[in-house]
Amino acid sequence: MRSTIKAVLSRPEISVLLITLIAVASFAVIAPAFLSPGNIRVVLGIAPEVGIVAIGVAVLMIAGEFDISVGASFALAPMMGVVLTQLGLDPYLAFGLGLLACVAVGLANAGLTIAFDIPSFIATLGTMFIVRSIVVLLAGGMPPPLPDELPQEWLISFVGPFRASLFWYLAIIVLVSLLLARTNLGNWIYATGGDNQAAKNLGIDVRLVKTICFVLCAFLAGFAGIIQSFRVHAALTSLGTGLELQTIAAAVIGGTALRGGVGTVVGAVLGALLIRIIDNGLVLSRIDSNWFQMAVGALTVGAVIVNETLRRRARAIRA
Amino acid sequence: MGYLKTTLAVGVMAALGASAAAAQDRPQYTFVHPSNTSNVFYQAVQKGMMDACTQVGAECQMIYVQNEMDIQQELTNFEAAIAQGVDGILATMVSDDAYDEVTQRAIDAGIPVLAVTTDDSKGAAGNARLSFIGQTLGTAGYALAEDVATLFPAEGPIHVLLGVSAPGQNWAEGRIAGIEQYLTKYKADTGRDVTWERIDSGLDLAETGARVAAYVTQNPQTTAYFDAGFWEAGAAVALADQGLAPGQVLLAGFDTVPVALEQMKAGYIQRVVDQQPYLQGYLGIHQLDLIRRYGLSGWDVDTGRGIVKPEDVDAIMELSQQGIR
Repeated sequence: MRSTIKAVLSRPEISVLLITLIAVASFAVIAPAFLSPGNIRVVLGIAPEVGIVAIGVAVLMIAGEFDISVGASFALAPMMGVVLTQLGLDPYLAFGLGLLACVAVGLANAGLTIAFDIPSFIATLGTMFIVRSIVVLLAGGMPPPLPDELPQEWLISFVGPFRASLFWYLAIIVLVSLLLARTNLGNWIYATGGDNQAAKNLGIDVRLVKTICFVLCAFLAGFAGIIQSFRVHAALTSLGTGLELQTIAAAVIGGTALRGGVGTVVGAVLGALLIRIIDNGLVLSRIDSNWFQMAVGALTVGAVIVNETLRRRARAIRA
Repeated sequence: MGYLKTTLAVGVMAALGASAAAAQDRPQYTFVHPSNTSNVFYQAVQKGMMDACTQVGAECQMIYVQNEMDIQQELTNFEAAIAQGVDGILATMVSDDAYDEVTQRAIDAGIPVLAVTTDDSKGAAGNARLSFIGQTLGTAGYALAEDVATLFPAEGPIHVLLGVSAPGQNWAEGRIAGIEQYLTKYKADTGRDVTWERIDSGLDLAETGARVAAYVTQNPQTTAYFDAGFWEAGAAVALADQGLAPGQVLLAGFDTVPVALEQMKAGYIQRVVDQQPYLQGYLGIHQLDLIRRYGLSGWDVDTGRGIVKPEDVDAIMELSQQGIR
């Protein structure tokens, strides 16, 4: 029994699941509308956009690297798609090129980090400014309106009470989870982040592994950006501002280790969901505007503390 | 070959020298503000500024900061402009105290300084700047609320949600204070049951949309939502997702950006205040140039309390996309 409890509580995503359930129960008591279908739809409307980015960020963190430029990639793909569509390109091709641009950003991040052996935090901080500037240049200053002919249904139309983006999100969760848990690449990612030198000694091409993770991270950020721009009917140059910190926080809350080698997709997804739930619950709780950010910050830190405490207790349990 | 190289080098140097001399002859004006290049609003201000600079033959520079609302970096840029000895400075002043010393130093050095877009809340009494060109925040908020109130249902209680996009910052607090001022008056004048609540609505379309939709789900009696910026457009999308009909919750905000105009056309946004950012940049440069040329005094200009209604959208849309309105 003890060993079962230990095994369950030691999993990085279990403690965040418990905290999420506690948060849901608390807000449901404070705000009656919290569990109403309408409010659930509000939370699940924005959750895929942040969650998809958090998945990429978490995978990269497991491999031992960071990407601070995800917010800029988030804006780059839709901006490029809209501008190229306006120039007469087929919308699918235009947005495909937008995603390809994000792949290029991922490659650049990997190249800078690996070839010059500089911390990814610094390398991607640089690309964040460069890519954000490219987005502004593409927009020509003013944000272009979303063309009417964009095929948006496959991403944001309602399927029953939920948007199609939620199902894309679920598919990505499953695919990336399988990638991490059931493939050689997944094992290499954990090994690379856990001990880079040991992984090299085992014959793992850690450069290739990290490059794949950087590219996946930037690609997912761009894809999520396209979803959000379609949903809010706007490709603003400011899309995704601050997303880098939010998604790193989601990954950490979900049990991803800052030093690499530990973490799961489900944990990052739950971390992102918890951040959205805290934000939503505080609005419903009618927190005064001047106290709002303090409440978000305090609850986020509290969630990480509870998460760490639970995992430490689990490790202390004798099997 | 050697002769050719020497001739070319001398030619290039002469051209560069002539160009530098020409640049030195032209007045130099600098605009400092605490926004980054992603801020749509300042792109329109910059367009007005640059058009005016071309007309007066000035060399102009608008300096953005890296992180939105980084006042410290704006002040550093302000000081750099003073050290450079420019002929005039336009500055957005989002704090009552932070700009006092640096403005006084510029004025003492003979560099005219005008507040543009946002001013010290005490106006000329609070800062040595020569004039303010922009929207009188409280007045604009008051005018917006006054206009939206004509759309309130004739009977029953009124509950208003106020989105303070950036709590603690002059521009957001000033506008919301104006709205609250009118709601107080409306309540007193009509004797109706009028309540309102403030939330931190954020500076992102998706974020604001999620927060406003959540609030309305919890408080379906909400009559209207006022945003301190243009993020009511995000609220419009989120409320439509919730199945609310256009006008079920009245939406209003500031700035005629294309996304807000589109939602106005769709019927979800009822009123927007146009503070005419183009005019702020344009008039700022012309005023500085007149001060420099003829020693005229500065004069305040209220560029924006014009209310845009759905019937105005088509006329404004094209100009908005060009960054003029």
